[in-house]
Amino acid sequence: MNKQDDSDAVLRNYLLGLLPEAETERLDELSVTEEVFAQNLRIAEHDLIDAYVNGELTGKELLEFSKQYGGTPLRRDRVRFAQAFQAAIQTRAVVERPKTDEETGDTSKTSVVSFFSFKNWSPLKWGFVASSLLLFLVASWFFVRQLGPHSQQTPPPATSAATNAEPPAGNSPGPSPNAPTGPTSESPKTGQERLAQRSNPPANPAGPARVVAFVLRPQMRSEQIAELVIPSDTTTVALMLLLGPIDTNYHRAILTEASSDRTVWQSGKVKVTTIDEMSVLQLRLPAALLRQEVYRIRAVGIYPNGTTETTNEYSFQVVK
Amino acid sequence: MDERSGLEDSRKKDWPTTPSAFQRLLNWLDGDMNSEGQKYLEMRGRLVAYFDRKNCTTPDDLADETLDRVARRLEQENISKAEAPAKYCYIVARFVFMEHLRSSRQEGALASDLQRNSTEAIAAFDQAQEDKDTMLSCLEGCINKLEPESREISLGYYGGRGREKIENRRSLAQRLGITSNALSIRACRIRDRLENCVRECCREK
Repeated sequence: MNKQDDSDAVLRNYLLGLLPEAETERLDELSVTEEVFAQNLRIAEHDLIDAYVNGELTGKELLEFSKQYGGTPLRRDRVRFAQAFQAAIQTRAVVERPKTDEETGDTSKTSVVSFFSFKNWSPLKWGFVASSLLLFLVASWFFVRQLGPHSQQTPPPATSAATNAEPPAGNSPGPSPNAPTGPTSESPKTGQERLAQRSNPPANPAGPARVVAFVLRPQMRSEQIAELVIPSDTTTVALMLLLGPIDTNYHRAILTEASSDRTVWQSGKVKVTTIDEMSVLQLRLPAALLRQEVYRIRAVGIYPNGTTETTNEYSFQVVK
Repeated sequence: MDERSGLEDSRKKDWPTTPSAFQRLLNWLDGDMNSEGQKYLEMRGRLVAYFDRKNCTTPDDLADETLDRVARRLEQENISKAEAPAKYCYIVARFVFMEHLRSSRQEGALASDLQRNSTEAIAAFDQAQEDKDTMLSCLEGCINKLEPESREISLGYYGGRGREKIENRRSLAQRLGITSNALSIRACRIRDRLENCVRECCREK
């Protein structure tokens, strides 16, 4: 075994299945016969899985990781363990932090728990967020109608909610969604912008938001494409797709770049949930996957006999 | 070892490993030292990881099959001086993998499994909320069972992201008075212990 065999890049590519076949076979043998190589490989694997969990993988690495580590029960379990491990580490870090806050009197350092801190993201909380956003949508539509002849007839296609989840120590009661309205077909200098300015509270100086959630509804031909503003330190983007009338409880979502029609990401089979009598498809994807581009999502219904059919389409532009 | 003897072995899958054969295997893997079974466990772990990387859905069974065949050949043909133990285990493992691949293709299962698995990959990491809570609760318990220094290493080594993570590791190694490489190895072993502990705990619940 030579020094190059266990360099980080080589090990990473080996784990992702990106090495040529001959090289892969050579490292396969080392992984069984050489104790030092096997140890270094294990270390590299932990770092790779953590990079995925933290949203640090992009492009080809992300796609290959999903293929390799979603392929067997053992590796799926490793990823789930890593998710729980990172959540536990952050929870412990947050629990220790409040002592410093109390000493300095600085209450602005509200901790943000990773999306994978499971206890805070119950369906009830998702339902609360979705209901609040829908209520806001309807209210803003009525408000806009009052403003003048250019008011549009339908509410804006997307709203966003940058969520600051409460720390496990329970310093504050639940998230406070900030919900600027998305772009509409009317002039940007009229009611929408004024409404956004009035309803958009100051940016939270407390710290980076880890999760950004958006609600999307199907794109209408006459509407402008929704803009999704994703802060640079976001790790996960949660999308709630509002589905029209559907006749199947399972869907798959396919995300493509609008300019090239290249598939960037696709989900597995996802069960449709009902929130306030609306059918919703809930998705989560790493923020690192999204660049400043226009994307399209196709919601594909999956029927019991195995056939599939596109039921809804959504478009959005990412702004970072 | 030639292909024919590898194939012959495949017809003797029901040969049970006797206690004496198993002890012979342990001694052979240990060489001149007595590792009290650690070498066997390490070899088994490496074989499980090998089969898992090859997308085999039953890596534990295939690793056991490999070691059973090695034990059988030790018993029947006294090959202790023929090959280095690890190299011999790898050769047998390759045969086992090739056979598994052949039988999977005959069943038409492997390719479609991989295809299905790749498209469901990201969603496959999701768990029901109840399972997530169970895992988190088990993990908390397992972390609390660690010795204080091991707990500090595991939480300090794997916390943070990017530059912060590198700094954490450097200062942790400095504080403990060990090299970065030694720290990496210790952290890796502690994490493996945690993973096993959580797996057992979740199974019990």
